[in-house]
Amino acid sequence: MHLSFDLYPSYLQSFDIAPLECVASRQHYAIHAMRNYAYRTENGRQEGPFPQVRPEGSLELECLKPPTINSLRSMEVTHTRSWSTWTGQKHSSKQTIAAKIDYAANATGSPGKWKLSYQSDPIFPVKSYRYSKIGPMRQTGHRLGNVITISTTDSGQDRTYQAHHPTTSLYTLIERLQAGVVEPGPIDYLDDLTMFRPGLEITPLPDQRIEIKGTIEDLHGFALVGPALLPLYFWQNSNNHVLAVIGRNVAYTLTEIECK
Amino acid sequence: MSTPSSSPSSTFTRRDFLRSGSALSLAAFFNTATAAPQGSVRATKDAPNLLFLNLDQLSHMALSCHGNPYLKTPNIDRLAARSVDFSKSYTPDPICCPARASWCTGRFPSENNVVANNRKLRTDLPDYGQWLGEHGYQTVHIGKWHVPGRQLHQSFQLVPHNSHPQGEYSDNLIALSFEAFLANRDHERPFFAQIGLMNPHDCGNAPRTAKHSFPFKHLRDQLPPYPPNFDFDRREPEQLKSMHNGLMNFTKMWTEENWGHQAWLYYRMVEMVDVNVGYILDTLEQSSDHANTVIIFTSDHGDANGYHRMLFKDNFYETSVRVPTMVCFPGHAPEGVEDTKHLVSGLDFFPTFCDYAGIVPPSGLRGRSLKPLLDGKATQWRRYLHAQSKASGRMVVDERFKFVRYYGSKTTQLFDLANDPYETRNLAFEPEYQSDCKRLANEIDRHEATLENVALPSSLSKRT
Repeated sequence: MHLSFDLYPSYLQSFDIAPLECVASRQHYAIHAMRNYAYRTENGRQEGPFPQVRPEGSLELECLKPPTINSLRSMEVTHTRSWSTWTGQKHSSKQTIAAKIDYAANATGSPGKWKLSYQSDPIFPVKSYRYSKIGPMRQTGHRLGNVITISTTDSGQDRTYQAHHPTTSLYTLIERLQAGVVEPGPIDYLDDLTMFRPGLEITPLPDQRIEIKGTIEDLHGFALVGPALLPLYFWQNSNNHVLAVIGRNVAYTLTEIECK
Repeated sequence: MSTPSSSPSSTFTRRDFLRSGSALSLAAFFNTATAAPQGSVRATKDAPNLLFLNLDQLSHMALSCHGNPYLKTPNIDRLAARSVDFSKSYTPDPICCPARASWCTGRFPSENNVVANNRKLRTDLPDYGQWLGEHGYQTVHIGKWHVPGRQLHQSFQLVPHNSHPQGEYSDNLIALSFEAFLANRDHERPFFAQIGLMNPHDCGNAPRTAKHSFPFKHLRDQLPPYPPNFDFDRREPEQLKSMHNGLMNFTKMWTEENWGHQAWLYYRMVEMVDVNVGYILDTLEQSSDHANTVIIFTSDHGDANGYHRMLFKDNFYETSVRVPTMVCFPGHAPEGVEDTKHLVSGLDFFPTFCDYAGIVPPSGLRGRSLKPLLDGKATQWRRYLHAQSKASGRMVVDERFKFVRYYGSKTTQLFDLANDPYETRNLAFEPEYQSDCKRLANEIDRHEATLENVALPSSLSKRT
């Protein structure tokens, strides 16, 4: 079994629905993160370590009806992360990225223009912890030729990055994988649409046969690998649905998918 | 940015402190405070901002600017080019909680009670968030804290989210939160921002992946070979040897590819966080605060990463105990200078912050302000640097040697760092080095007698 399946198969779900050929769709992913280890005493002996995996947020992708130009797509993203400091504690704050992305309907889903909002919110009430709201902070981004520019509205700051390859993001890559058009090759990565990680590659993964909740599934997929990133493994079923995006300490698993 | 009215972060003032003055000592005030102090006495108008940018588990050797060929860290390298880079910099204790408790109190773990992870901080010691807040700074903490017994909102006025991000997918958010803070901060006061990025800490989870074959055959030439001290001198203090044997048993089936896989993952994590450091630096450099901000960059400890056939931290080998420390203050401190002379400790940060802020530090701090060194002033600097580990371990370093002793362990270690930087030969067994061992053991005893150590429970003290 592939090394990326060591912790997360129990979170995967099977989806027996046709490939997404609808003009608009919605996909929801749950986020689980491996946090720490626990030990248990069994028959008087300490056993472990057992990895502790916890739910830590969600990712929702809403692919919008394309405009008349077929080479462009748009999607709305809500990416929420929320964790607790210690095992067993309730989450007491959450961080949310909300974005609207216009991107190319090419092999990588290159973001062309986007708007992003980031904020951190306390979750009340949580005993003993008091967090401050921060944000929302708004950004816009665009790619012109090989130059990517990200502007923060509040501060007026501009960041420019020189791209040497087609660019992608987690969000648009998932959609392009589901469209079945992704090809191996070099790529630059806009992590969270904000952190530029250039010089990566998309490389195919060996096919896997695994059991998902009683159903045998044949999976294929790609890895995003290279400098300044832990490999991300994208696993797809035979209908190209991206069932999981698995890092080393984090997994996004598909929980809902619908045509709109 | 807004602070909700239900937050108590701005409710404690100097007036509160003065009102309580006759009944409470300063330490007791900080102990009883339910919110971070916010002094009404403004820091002087030109007092610099203080950015304490810390990573987790970054070894001194794990940067391309320090000569490591297996990774590229262009952003931290950029910071080094604008800083004084103290190359003889050591953590007070090479594991998370003790190191961080020592940073924030300026006291050794044996004094602040955090001699191991998850032991609670003494409540009567003020921390730097409280101290700078009381003296007029706007204080904010974003990211990892990990100081048990001291809740973040008791120390910092603004705390936008939980401690303990996941480096792999949350460090980006730490960088964004810093940007949001800076765009909306209170410009009537200087700020003290503690930004705790998590990576590469989570390499602690990497062995479960590294035990597999490296999955990318075409990238195998990127795997580092065995480190130069993979075969090491096994004459170790018994307490360390016990832990080391456990780790070697855990990895006994590992091949060079597995060790290389582990190191490769660690270096990718360092590169990941380097991008976040770059984002934070860009944010600051494009802001009006840049020219008046002191940056201290460091890590709480390092990672063995296969050196000495070891993983993780919590020992006195250089990979674990020696960390990067860079200080940048544009126009005020030299740029692109590697200081290879002065022995620097994580205990020095609290007095350095106070010195730059122009405020008197709390009594009893064990470190020294780095500011005179950065100002180029001739100053009598420490000859010996001390660190602690696992409650019973003590390390002293001078300009040439490192001496390690664990109370309760018979075996000691002496390394000639000047001629054996990879610590491959324990000289404590060589007759010609006995006088150095004795001198350094005496120095540990002398130093120990100056500390106000707490009483430890028998589970820890029996080892001492």
